[in-house]
Amino acid sequence: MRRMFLTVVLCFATSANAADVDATTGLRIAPGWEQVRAHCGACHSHALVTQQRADRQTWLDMIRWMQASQNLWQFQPEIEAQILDYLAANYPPQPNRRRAPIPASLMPATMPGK
Amino acid sequence: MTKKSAQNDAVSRRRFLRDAALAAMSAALLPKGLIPVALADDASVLPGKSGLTILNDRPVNAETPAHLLDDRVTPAARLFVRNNGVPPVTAGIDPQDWQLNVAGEACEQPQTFTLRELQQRYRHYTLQLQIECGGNGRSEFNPPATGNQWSTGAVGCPEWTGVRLKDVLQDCGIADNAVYVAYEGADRHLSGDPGKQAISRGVPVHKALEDESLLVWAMNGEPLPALHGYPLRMLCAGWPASVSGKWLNRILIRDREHDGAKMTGKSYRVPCEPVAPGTAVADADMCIIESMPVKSLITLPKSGVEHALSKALQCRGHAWAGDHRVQEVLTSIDFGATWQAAKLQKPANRLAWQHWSASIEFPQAGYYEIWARAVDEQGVSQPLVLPGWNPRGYLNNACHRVAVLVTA
Repeated sequence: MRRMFLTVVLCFATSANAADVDATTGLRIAPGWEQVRAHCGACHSHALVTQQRADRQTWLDMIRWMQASQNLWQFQPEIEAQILDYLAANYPPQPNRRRAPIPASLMPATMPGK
Repeated sequence: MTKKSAQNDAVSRRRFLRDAALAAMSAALLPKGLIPVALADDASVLPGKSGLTILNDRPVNAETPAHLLDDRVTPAARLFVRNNGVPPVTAGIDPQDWQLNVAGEACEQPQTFTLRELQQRYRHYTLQLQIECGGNGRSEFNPPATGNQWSTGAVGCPEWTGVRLKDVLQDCGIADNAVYVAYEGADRHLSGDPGKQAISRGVPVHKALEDESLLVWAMNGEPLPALHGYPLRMLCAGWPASVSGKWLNRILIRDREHDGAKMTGKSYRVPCEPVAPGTAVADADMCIIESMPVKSLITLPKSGVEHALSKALQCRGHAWAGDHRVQEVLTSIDFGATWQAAKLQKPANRLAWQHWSASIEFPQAGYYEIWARAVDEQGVSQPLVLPGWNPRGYLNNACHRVAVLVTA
């Protein structure tokens, strides 16, 4: 199972150093990460966080949806701010594009010029 | 259990989860029952699977890399897993005693069948039927859409055995005011709240009454795997796979559009009118997805292979088009500038995916991408770039691409 998280981390967090990622949850270690580990991981896998990219408003929309329909509890305002700051800073949208190149993991291993 | 005590249980369960989460903050150890899934072993998460990419382990969601979908009939080990809730524990049950209740406002004679009775009373059908998650391809949308970030592997076409849904529905009496046929399953909500459903969707009556809409107990000649709905599920191919309810224990003939979990809001819906990427769309302006769009996969070669210039490259894959048939499949090795027709086979039966193949020669060494593009019987093609952006990232049927390095 640790292997699985390693795969998830490799696929979705290639820009982070391995040392910056919590080995158990796959979360990037940065201010607020323990709050996300505790509050977001009670019902669902942390992989649902680490594979997602969104801006602060979209992260808040997801939290409000979970509170309205999925039994997520209410947060103290300062806790909510910590969670949103962490998510928006560590899992932001990627630069806009209509279609990205084929992912690096699906490219030939020995490419000329690489 | 009374309604009130169920509510109390739900509240206490929620408090328990919250308190456990807070306790974990200080203790850094979760109490028994909340052991991080990361400490469980692989086999307990995906029994019977091989080579799948796990997107999420709670709930379990896993997809199949394109080159592992090469089989003409998808084996159980290679079929994607999409769960919305926690599957029921079905180990050790007698499947013959599994009960299916048929009811609803527009059901004239509600009845309860055991699986044994369904098997004895109605004619059996065995069909190859493709199912695809409505969010297959979501990972490519930008701005990012919310949900499991599927790439290309949330699709498959096993062979299913069961009875026609319409034979059962007609025995139970479809009233003139019937609108929708909905399912309820035995999976539980992720929060553990017994008062909440994980998912309860369905199809309009006309789709339920199609010859290929089945109640199935077998996949590829074996009992349904636990992750795929054992011992009984619904199968309405060509629509988002979420209409094909698993661990089926109730069917409702509704007198209105079904309003169960994940029927409403933004779930399995797209904007009724096309929107620019990133647009905020009100729930009232979201419409239910019905037939899935035309699509294809390249299952040979695996993306990233090296190939010798002197030989032709054998390519193949599958194509499907929701409720429709695929008319042609084309391949390109020059980023869509020119296209060559592939050989395309007829489907084994309606709503089965179709197999295509092509022999490709390259003009010189270098980097190539093989693109495949299917066109359905209505003349509708897969797009080469992303189709219309939508908040939840459904219906990405952009052409599949694989990378090939051709060496002299």
